[in-house]
Amino acid sequence: MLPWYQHIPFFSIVLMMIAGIFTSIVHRGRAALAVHLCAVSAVLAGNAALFANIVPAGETFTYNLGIVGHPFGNELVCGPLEVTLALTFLTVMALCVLGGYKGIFEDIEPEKQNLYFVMCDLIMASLLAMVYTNDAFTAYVFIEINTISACALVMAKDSGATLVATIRYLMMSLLGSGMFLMGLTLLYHITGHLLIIDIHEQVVHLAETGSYLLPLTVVMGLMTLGLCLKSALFPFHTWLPDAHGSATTSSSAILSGLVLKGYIVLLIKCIFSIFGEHIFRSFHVGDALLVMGVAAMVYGSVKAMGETHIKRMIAYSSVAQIGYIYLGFGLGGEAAAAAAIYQILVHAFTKPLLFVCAGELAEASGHRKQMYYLRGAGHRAKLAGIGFTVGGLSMIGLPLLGGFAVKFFLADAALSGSWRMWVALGALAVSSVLNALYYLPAIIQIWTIREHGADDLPQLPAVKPGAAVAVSIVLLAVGGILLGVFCTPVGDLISTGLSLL
Amino acid sequence: MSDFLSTLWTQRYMFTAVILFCIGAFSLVFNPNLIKKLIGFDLMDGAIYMMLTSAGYIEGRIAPIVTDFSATPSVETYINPIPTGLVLTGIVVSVSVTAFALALVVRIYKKYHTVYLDVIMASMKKGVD
Amino acid sequence: MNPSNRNRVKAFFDWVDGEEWCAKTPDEVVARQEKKPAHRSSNDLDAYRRFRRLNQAVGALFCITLAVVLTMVVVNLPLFGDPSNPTNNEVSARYIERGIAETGSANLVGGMILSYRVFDTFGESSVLFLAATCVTILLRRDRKNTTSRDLRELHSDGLADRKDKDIVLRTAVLLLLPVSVMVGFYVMLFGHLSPGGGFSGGSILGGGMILYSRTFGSDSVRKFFNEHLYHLVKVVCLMCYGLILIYYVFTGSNGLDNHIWLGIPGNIISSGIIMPINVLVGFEVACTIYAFYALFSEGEM
Repeated sequence: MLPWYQHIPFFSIVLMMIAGIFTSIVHRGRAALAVHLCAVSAVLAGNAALFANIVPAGETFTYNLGIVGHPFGNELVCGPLEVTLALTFLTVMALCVLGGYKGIFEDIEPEKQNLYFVMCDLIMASLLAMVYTNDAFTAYVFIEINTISACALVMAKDSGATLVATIRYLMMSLLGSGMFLMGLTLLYHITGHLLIIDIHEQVVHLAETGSYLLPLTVVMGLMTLGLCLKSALFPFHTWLPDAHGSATTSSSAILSGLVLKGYIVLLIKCIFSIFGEHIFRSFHVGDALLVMGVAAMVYGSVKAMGETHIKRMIAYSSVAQIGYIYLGFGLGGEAAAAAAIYQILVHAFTKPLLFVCAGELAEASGHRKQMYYLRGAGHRAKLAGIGFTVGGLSMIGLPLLGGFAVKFFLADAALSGSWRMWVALGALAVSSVLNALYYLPAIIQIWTIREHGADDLPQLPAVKPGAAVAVSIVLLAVGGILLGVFCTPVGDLISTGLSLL
Repeated sequence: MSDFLSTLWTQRYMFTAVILFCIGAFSLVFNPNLIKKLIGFDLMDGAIYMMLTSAGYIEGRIAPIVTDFSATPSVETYINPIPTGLVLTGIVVSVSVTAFALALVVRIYKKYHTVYLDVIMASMKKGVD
Repeated sequence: MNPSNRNRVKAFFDWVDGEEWCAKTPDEVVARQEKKPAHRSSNDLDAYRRFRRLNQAVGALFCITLAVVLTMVVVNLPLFGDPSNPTNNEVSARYIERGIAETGSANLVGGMILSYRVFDTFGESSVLFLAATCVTILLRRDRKNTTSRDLRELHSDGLADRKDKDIVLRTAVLLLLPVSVMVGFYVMLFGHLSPGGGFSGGSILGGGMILYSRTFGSDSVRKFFNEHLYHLVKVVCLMCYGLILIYYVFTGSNGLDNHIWLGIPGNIISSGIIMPINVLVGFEVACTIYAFYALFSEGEM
């Protein structure tokens, strides 16, 4: 018999899928929300127990999905890194849904509210599957589940803008999936295996003997390009501001904080587990990622400066933050990759915090999201104002907050002396200044008290956040602060996990 | 050159798949008509399944349906069953995504009375929030 | 400091304070967006179309490059039909040689996807369920997506509700429908003995239901298959599949004997979990295919 905690990854994935299937017949929206939160809490508890069991020992295990093991059947893999990512994703998902639940019940038709939670359950299941999988084709199937449910989250609000944003997101996503599957097909042609461990053995063998080098290069390029398309790397980000800016609050939070990260986790598996870092580096794909990451960091911030719609501004900021992750991958080496994974964790807490607070501030300003109407909103919704301030300062890179730890680790990893160091340090500097140039004015604006009767806006009353929203804002902010304060232990954990990959 | 052409002829199924993949991808990204984008997506996915199925074929062997139960099936008799199984999964995924995308196109048509994405984007440009 | 510099300094401080871009009302923002430089055409659509042509030229170049690169890759891949390809390795050898002994299924492909890779197939069934749910969100009629014009059209045509008047069509369908249903059940039940399985069998069944609905009106199908039954069948089938999956994987990963009776290969009651899963998946697929048709044509079942 296996130790009891080794069953947790499989049961997490299947429990979330069964919760999603069951929720489709639960008719009331609030009951569906309750089912979703119960399922996520149960899975979170299980993964916390798993964390407690395997992280102190630094243990990694594989789990057979069926009667035979590798290389004949399907497998899951679990190590410290996977468990940390799973815990982060589960926590953030629960807090996103809690933080945006008012928007869900206002924006969506009552008969269709339970279907929204079906989508949330299946997104969680597919994220867990992408974190724990050890098989490339299973990863593809769950990529498709993630694509469809993420598009459904955008279009749940059912307005013209969201429908067009959804179709543009879907088209770009399908191109990415197609490229990934084509790369996977070619990889199967040359290696004959689908399990990641076995593919890696064969790839090492091929690189040594020098056979099938052109197909191997093209496979690397196709799979990386497919995953970059789906995670909105510049210049493939054009769908992101519309999709994240027009959706309901919890949808924007889940999409920015979690969905984009799932594909990046798969990219980590591609770089480190399937191809191996040396081979990946030797084909210069990393340099392309570095250039596009730097371009994303600058372009995202520049476009965010011109936005007056708060959610679109935060969405463009996401484009820039994804650039940080690709900067980490492009620099090469374990330290830079650990910094990139740290950014995944920090962004997963900070971006939903910003979206939830923006939603609350907009509600306190008569449901209007233009910055003009949000002036003074911090005084009307104090907790949301504080949360937005903490999130914005984290993005700028104030010490003691998560964003600073990321920039510090990236700069530290960049100090290798080659041309990449100058590019990375320059990009970090420019991006930090640009981030300050749009977050600080926004923070100042929401705390500026409007003169009484100075303009045509009516005086709006203060809005008390509900318990759920308050819990969500507080816990997301605390998560960001803890990641900033305890940067060394968490950083060490990630490095250990990465080396075991 | 003749070597290249003869290899290309041997790999004809994969070559056709690659051409169809590129045509499908072009249509998916650059054609302004939403229905033609979806046709491009179907073409692209179909090309990938053709590529995958051609990985399994072995000259001179038959489909992996065992009819003679007296002896253990020999590897020499049957083609590789794995790619065919993967294609079965892929086809269902492709059909599901196409159905979803077509429902989106129907709703967009009802709202904007056109299926041309550039017309829709131009008419949306003036919207604020 | 001369006046123009002072203005610029003030403008900079206003911008940092958010005065400049936060002080604009939405109307002013729209006006600023609509104000175009003189040399550009005033027509948005023309501008889009010209941009589109340049975009398509660049895109065509990119796709031709991709085609050339992939052709070079194809020429360098292992040759088609060669027995010594990397894909013909110990994995496929095991599936062929021990497939019947371990799964009990004569259809080696069906046995592979429903026992060695049963998790992927469960994911695939969930994709189908997910797509049906998304189409329901989009197309099921509610007050937000139905205009009064849609309702008038639906009631006046009545095409979906009434029987088709063509006697040739009705008689042909009456003759064809039992055959179609039988073939659908045959493909579902014999999925482990011949090519087929739950997905193909379910599609044939669903197709038969669509044919019946189109010819005799959707009310005739509503007599035996309504929305309530659709949800019940869908959820029960997927939950049973999930429970079978959990039992199979739990016993398999622990190395326990799963006591699933594999039967005699070649019989219809054989192959352990494969035939029940084929039946469950077949019913789910049939419901989903009919649901797609009903939602697209009418907006409800």
